[in-house]
Amino acid sequence: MAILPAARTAVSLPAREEDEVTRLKRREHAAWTAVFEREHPLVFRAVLAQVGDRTVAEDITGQVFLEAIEGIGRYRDRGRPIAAWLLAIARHRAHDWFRRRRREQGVAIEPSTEGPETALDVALEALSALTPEQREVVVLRFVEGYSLDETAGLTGRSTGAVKALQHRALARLRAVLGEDATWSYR
Amino acid sequence: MKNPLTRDYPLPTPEDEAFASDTFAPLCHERMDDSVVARWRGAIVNALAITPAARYGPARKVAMSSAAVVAPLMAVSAVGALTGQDELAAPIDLMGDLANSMGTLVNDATPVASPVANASTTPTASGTPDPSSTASATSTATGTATAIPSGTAVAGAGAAAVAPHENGLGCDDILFANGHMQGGPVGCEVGNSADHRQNGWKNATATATATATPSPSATATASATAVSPHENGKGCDDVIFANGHMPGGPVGCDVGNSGDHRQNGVKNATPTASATGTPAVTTSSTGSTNPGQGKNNGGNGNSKKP
Repeated sequence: MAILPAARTAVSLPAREEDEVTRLKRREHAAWTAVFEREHPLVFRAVLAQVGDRTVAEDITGQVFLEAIEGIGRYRDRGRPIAAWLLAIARHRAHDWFRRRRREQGVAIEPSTEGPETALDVALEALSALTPEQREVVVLRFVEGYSLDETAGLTGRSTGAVKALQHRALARLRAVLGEDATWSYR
Repeated sequence: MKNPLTRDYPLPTPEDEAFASDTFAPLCHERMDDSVVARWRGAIVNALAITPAARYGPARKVAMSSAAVVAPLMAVSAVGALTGQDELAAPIDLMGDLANSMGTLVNDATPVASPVANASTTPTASGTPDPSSTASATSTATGTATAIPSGTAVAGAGAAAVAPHENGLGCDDILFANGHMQGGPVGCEVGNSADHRQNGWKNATATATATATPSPSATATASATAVSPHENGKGCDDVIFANGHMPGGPVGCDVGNSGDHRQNGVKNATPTASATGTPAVTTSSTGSTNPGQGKNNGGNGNSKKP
């Protein structure tokens, strides 16, 4: 049985109004505001887990919604939550940021040699040891508290793929956190 | 039968889940700063305020097409009436009907319902020659011609541009007068004058279109020969963004008769025809025409931004 923090055990996909996409496509201000207020924490944390930088994550999160507004006309409603689409945009923007940063720096990004100072730093350092796909699954499963099926729906993967990513991510985390004695946050 | 190549990954043990949950617990409480949220909220509102129609401008293409196509045709019509070539009247009427079906007045001198135009329009009696309209017609037709029946030409151009105002998709939307909403930093001025109004309706002080007395040395044939490019899709749509001005681009856009090429293909047109006779071309426009209007629609090369 899964053990999740009490605050996150009740988390589930938000109930979506049937006509929400229609209202979004009509560019209704109220609909977009509601989506932004509801989804921006999720998007922000997902991006933060990817890029590890708060300021960058805030910028990318806002851009995700602007891009969503611009692209809502091309959105096809396949019954998946709107958050899945927003997370996909966020994934691409985070990937773009990594590419741009690598290009600007000319070298691959090296993990910081400084030890983490806070619990958040520990978490972000641990996430940096994972692949982007593993990070996404880990965040949705253990930060947002989604189930395997819900995570599969949000990431557009099968449940089996999510299980595999989760399994490898946890194995990697155990190895990384076990190697570093300074990571005492456990 | 189970595929031997697939692997069934076990679910994490409770200890694994507890470990992962504790490790990433600090991330659960991370949120964007309120100031940042407010900033993006405002950005979203602004983004919603820019409609796709304003961004990509389908309405403006239609409006520009109708006005700029009809204007030179009016000149041709005038020439036809002037020279007695009735065969010109048929296609002009056809185009007139077409333009009317698009909500564009074409030289029928019906009182204009445009709120913009009416605001400053004072109808005067028809049949009064207006010297200033002669100058406008000259500009409209060919840029060099002086014999196009001025009243007719001006009336056609001016009336053609009025109708799009009626449904809110007219010149105001076209011109992006206040700030050029398409994203580019440069204002886009369409038409012939002022900071908006493609046909100079902004400060229109109306004069009725009058009976004109064209001079016989007309070069309006240049306009007549320039009509055909519109018919095969080389009309205003091609002209509008002709020189690199894509929506959102930094380059201003002059629509009408300026620039390196002409919507009517008459940029370098050499006047070849001459109108003879002194026909009295009379239009019956009642108060919707303007001496300055339409002088850039369909003519040749002399107008730039104000």
